[in-house]
Amino acid sequence: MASYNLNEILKKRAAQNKGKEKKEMDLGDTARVKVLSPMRQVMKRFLRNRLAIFGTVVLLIMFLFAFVGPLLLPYGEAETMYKYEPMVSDYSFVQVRTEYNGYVLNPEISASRAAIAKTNSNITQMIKDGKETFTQVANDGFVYLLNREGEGIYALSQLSATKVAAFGSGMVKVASYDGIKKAVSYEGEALGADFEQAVTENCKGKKNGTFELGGVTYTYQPGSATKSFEIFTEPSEGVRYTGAALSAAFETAVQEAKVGDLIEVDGKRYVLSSPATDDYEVYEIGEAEPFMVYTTFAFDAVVNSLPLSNEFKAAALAAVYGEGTFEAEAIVNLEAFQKQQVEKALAAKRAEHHEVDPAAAETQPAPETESAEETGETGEAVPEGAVPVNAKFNVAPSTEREGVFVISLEDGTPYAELNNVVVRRYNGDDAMDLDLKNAIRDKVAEMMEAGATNDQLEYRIPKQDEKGKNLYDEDGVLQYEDSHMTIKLRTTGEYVVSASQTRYLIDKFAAPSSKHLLGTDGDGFDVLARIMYGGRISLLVGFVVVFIECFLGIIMGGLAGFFGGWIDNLVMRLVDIFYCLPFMPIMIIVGALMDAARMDVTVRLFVLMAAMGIMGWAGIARLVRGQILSLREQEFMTAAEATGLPTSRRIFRHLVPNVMPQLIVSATMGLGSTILSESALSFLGLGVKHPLATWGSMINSVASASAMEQYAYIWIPVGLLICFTVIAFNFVGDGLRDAFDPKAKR
Amino acid sequence: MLKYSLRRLAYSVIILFFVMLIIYTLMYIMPGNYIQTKAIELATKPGATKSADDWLADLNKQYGMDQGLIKGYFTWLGSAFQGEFGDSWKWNMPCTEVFSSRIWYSFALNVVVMFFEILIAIPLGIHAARKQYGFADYFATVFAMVCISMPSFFLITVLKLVFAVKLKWFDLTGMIDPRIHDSLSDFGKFLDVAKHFVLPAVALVIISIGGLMRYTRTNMLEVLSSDYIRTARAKGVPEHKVIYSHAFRNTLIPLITILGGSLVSLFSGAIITEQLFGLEGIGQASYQSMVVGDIPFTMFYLGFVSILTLLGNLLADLLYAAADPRVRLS
Repeated sequence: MASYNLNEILKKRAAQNKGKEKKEMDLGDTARVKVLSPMRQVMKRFLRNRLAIFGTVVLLIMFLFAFVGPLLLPYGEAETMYKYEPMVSDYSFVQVRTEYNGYVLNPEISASRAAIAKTNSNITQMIKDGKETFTQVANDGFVYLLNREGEGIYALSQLSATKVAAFGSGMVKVASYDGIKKAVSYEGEALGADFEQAVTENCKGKKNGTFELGGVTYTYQPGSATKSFEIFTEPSEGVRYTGAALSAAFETAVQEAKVGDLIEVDGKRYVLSSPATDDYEVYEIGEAEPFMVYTTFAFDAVVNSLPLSNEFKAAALAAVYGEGTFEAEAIVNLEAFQKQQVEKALAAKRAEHHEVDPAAAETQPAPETESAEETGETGEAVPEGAVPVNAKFNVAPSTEREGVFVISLEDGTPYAELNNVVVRRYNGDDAMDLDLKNAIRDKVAEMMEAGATNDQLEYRIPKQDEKGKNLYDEDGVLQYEDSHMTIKLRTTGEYVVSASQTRYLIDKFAAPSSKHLLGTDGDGFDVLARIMYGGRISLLVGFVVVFIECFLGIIMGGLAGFFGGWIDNLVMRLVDIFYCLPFMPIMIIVGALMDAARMDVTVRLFVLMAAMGIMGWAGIARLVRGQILSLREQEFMTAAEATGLPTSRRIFRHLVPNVMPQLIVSATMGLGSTILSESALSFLGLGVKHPLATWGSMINSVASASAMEQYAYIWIPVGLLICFTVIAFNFVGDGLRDAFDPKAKR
Repeated sequence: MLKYSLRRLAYSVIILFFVMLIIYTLMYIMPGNYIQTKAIELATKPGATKSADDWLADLNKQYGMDQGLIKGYFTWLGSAFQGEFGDSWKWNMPCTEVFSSRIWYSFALNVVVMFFEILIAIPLGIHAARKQYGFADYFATVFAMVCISMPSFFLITVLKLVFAVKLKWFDLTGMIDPRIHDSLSDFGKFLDVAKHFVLPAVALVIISIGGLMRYTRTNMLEVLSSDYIRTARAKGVPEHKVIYSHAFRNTLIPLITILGGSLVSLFSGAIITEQLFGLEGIGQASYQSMVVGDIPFTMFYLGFVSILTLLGNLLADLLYAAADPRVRLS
């Protein structure tokens, strides 16, 4: 039995058949003519059109760009870009202090406010007169003594005072008389019943006058209260004592002294007070006990932001020119303090992170307990020693810098500095490192010497993070950056330091770079991303509007064309009305209307599309009607009617498909013009609104006279995109028309 | 033909009625419209005695806005028939005065544009048709398409960048050079204004050239493929005579039709161009009126434009019939 190979047999048969076919083919055979389906014919003609192919390719690229592009780009449509950029701002100010600040040494002493308020002017007076002490008799019965402790430090003491004598050329008040109570009260000794009677007789009405009694002329004048009088005598030469008379040495001393002087006679101390011109009173004063200390010095702790209590400051100031040592409560463990600061900063950052991360918050089953634990931890984490303790300090003049005192711990570690050149952050905070402060001080000192009003300085300042807080690395070490600072003298006598500092800013109008290929716009949005999303919206608007136009147009045109008669007449008049409505003005009015209604941007987009669709259906309706009118008379429609097909089927299955070629051409062209009008409206600010991106509004945002040159890289590509898209739609439309009907009149 | 024209005119009146009704409705429903703004402004003025609501009622009465949409429309229509278009809210003077003070700028601009449009587009279109599928044809087709597809605001911005910002030949906006205008003679003033119309005219010519060129080319192609051209060529008529005597004359028929139709649009103004170049033409006035919701002026202007459109269409049809005896109007 011979082997049977199916493959071979099949091959043989195929060869036989092939030969047969060839043989049967002759010249008149219809199969020789290659027949293409109408669709393929159209396709072939379309592909032959170079411009149409160009348009198709452009459109394909545009669609990829607009719909796929955003998926590849890491930026969103309205995602603000940030950047770190040096920004020059007023960083700190420097002031040579002339005002004296008071610190309370002994809080138990309550002093006259008036006396304390005068201290600064008294110190100025002392410096002018070159005096070491100044006394002031206050109306609370105490004497206040200002004592110059040394350069820049004054101590204020409150002393008990007793009036011992008075002298002077002014009238001496002896008594006052109350006309209502008819009572006489004496300043010094009582003058007897005769005097009182004379007073009662004379002091009436509202007038001045004199009366004589016992050889002494008394003058009276109305007092401040109703029916009260004050009675004076002529001044007597010499000193009038309140109590017992004192020595002659006392008298000369007090008469030579001036108000404010401290008079020491016979081991006792006296002060003068002048209640009226040329009239003096002498007080004996007790022991001085300073209760306030005044200074021009400011405290700069060695460690940034270390809190120094007022008690500490007062004690330190008292010790500067005194014992040189003092005891006060302060944080002495500087390392621990620094650690605590870092911990705090990091904890704050963590907390913020939790706040802004809702997903993270959700994943925590019991956020309350957790946070409580956390705070407990941080509470425990406070290193021991970061709390104020009582410690001893030494104060000594600085060996390096003139006019500066250094406060150091008992073991000699520097703790703080006293300096009368105050350097603070511009907002008044004391949050700068001591070395930076001193560098600025040196520069300012140089400037003052040279009389310069401008100088520059390079120094490091702490880096900042996004939130404007100091930046720490993982080990909690503060990060620094070099800064260029300019120091300027203001007319107010302050030196202002402006420093360039790297800040986290919205990246506005960035030039094209590898990160942002077309830069960023005025809102810090990536322009390339905006263009892509803008393309989405423009194409979307185009398609939706054209769909609405076609939908309305086919229905209305179909009805008019198929039924004719009064329906046709009605629809065509409607078409005429919409044809007559001027498109651009109506869209401008609709845009203004939507503006006035403060429509939400998304709603606005839909309303805009609807309005444009409604404005544009008339053309399609006219086209469809015209086509249907001519198609209606053809045989296939008679056949369709003869087979008894329902009307809707005849319209939508037989007529409309035949209108399709013209409709597709018209729709393609319509897409281009719709995109064009939408971009024009958006350019005028009446179309699609920010933050939605559209090509028109993107051009508008940088097309002002001042911006158009600088930001040409934003609006020129966008304008070209609009242009290319519209051209492409038009080319494709043209190509389709030629392909569908090569003989048609364009 | 007279009967046809009369019927068309009658239809036009009906169409116009509804067109104006639609525009009036849009203007009427605009929230926070001009009257409300004005009422609030008047009520917040120092020394104002009436509240914003009172002012609103007063102003509504004053402007005839208190009678509802339909009645308000008929009131407007009634006064419009008597030639009373009211005072423009935005410009504070009669609409007709605003119109007459601005229309001639727009008209002059459009005349110049149309002149250059015809001068450039028709020869280019004829040339492209003669060399169909040649380089000139492709160039003309692409150029026409670019012109049609060019967004006017983009073209204007480019022109401004090149000629006003970079080259500094022209001012960015405005109709006069305020620094020197007053010191110029009358002729100098005219030249100054003319200079400011150059860029707008260039922009409008570029935008409008494409359509006319394509139209010319298509019609010329159609004529060139007709039998009598073939006959003329067969007779040995010189080519330039074939083109300019036989073909071009026949191409003129549709051209005259559409150009005649667009004659009336010379008065309609160019909204975007005038607004962007700050030309005080009718287009700019209408844009600014529409944006603030100035009903009298918008109604007046859009009514005017609608009449122009309807007249233009009628004129085009009549011209077509007049120029081409084969066309019968019915």
